[in-house]
Amino acid sequence: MTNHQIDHLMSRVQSGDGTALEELYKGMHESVFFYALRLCGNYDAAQDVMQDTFVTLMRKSSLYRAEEKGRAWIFTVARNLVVDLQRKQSRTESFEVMPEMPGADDFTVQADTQIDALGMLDGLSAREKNIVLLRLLGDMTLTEVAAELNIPKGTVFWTYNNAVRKMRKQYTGGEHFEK
Amino acid sequence: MKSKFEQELKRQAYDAVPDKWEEIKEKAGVCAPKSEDKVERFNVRAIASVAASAAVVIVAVSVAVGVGRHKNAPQKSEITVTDENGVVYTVADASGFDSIAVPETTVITYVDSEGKEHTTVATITRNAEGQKEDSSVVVTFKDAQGNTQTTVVAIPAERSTTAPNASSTAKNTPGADPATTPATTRAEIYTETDWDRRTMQEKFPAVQFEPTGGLGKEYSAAFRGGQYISRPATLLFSGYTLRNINPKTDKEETVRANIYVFQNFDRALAVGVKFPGEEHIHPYVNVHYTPQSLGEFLTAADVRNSVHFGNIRLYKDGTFPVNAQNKADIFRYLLSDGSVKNSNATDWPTGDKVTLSIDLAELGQNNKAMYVYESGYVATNLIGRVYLFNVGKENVAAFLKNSYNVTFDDLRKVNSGTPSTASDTATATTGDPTASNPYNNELFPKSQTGTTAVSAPQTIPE
Repeated sequence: MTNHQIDHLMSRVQSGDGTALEELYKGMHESVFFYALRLCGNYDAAQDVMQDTFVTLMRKSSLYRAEEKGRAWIFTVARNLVVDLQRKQSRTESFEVMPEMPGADDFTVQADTQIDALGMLDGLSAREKNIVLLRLLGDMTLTEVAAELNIPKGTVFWTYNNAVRKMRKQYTGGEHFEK
Repeated sequence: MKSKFEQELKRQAYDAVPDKWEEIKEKAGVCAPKSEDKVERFNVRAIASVAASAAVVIVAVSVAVGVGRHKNAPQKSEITVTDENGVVYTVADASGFDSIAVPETTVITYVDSEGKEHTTVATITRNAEGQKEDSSVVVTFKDAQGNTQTTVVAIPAERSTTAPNASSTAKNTPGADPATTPATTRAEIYTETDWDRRTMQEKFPAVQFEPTGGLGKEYSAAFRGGQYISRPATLLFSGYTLRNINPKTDKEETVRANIYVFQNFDRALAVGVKFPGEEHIHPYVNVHYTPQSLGEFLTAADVRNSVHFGNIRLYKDGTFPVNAQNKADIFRYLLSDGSVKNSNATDWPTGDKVTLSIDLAELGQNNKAMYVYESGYVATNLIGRVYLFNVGKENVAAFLKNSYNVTFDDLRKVNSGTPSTASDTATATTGDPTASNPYNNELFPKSQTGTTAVSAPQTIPE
């Protein structure tokens, strides 16, 4: 989703158009999720951050200014929510009540399965993983990744390609996707 | 241009991203119009809270909530808040409430419009304004129909001395919303999470392993404050690298620590971490650990030797300490058949239950619950996930009969006659349990005769 599209959708969100928020969600939620996952390193926390990011976009839409870099703005909202989360975790106890609801166990089983789908990232170094999460899964441009990680764009480009090569080797069905 | 491989990887990964739109829609107030603007009323009574500060303001508060929804309009809530003394608090509207993301949890019991009682988990969000005169908290929970309900509980000044911590946040970022203001400076944001002031567990709260070797994938620090346990341990890995991102610099920090296996704790459940320069071993728990069977769980957590049973809530307002004989009966009747599988049932057990509070203090798991259902299920959240074992209704009945000389029929009779207001509850739980039972003087309990009922632990849902 481009900054221009985000601008357009945010202006509709500002006018209270819930369908615009849904469009924004459909176009951005995966990117936001993987961005949050990179910051949190925790699947459950990342989905909470992803959810809260879009709630915040709706509630605080009046603060958005057109012509801003919409994608960067959304990622910053997510980043600040991660900070809030870390702050909260540092001063509260863990969740210690048993939710009495059907399928409570199903959720965590599902979460593990989903993490396994990302198992290919396991073989990467921390830097490679960060870059892949942001570039490929967070759908950021190389320039955005470089700014986010505060490292030169050339390094991002080189590291990213290296990481993709590594993953392709790891991937059991990799031959299928070779050139 | 991304290669086919990159595209496929992205597609697979994106498939794993949870769809939270429905929840976002509810939370953000983006709701489809209903055929009629039905107003439902709930009586909400918070019975417990894991957040001490929130507990002060929430416990035993009655709330009546009316909810009507309009498309693209903030959710209007008709709220009347009455405390246990009958004092009516401020009527507020959740839609205008400016909160920050500081959720904490509590267990609430609410009575729906048909008089049916439900217990569920609610999230408490504090007021970002941190006002001293009239602080508020937002209570969010899902009702029995799965609809998210939100209400604001306004707390008069004299009751708000312990809430809200959020005021410190407001001070750190004057005039700014930390969740939406990109320009907020790092120094302001990270005041409370300064990397250099963190303990080693706070700096490195997780240990991640490759998904091989029988280990869990990720272990979380059982404690954040530097606590350790003295259980014998043997070295598993030396110089294992733990990683985390320093939020102040956004750079990765690493430390090389020694990883240990504790005696009689399955390494798939918990490992120990010894940081350089420290003498002690800190426990890290795999909160995603899922045993296949009851026996596996009992062995992995060394349940017989490590778990402490605190109290049992037999009936509403009737909570008693678990003594040695009761504990023996728990293992004899409920936890004896190790072959019982950890159930993946999608239908959560229904029907009546008694609740035990359990701790595994060595691994930082305190005030957890074990539910014992009349239907024969035993459920516990001891490690983080919920485990569910069908031990058989005969065993559950035998446990109650032999340990407490009661049946579920007896307990239902008591429940139906037990006073329900908070003040009456206090009387009932501090008195002689047999005296508070108008139905059967022989009801309680063979092994509890002469004991005094105690208040329930705060985190045990009713």
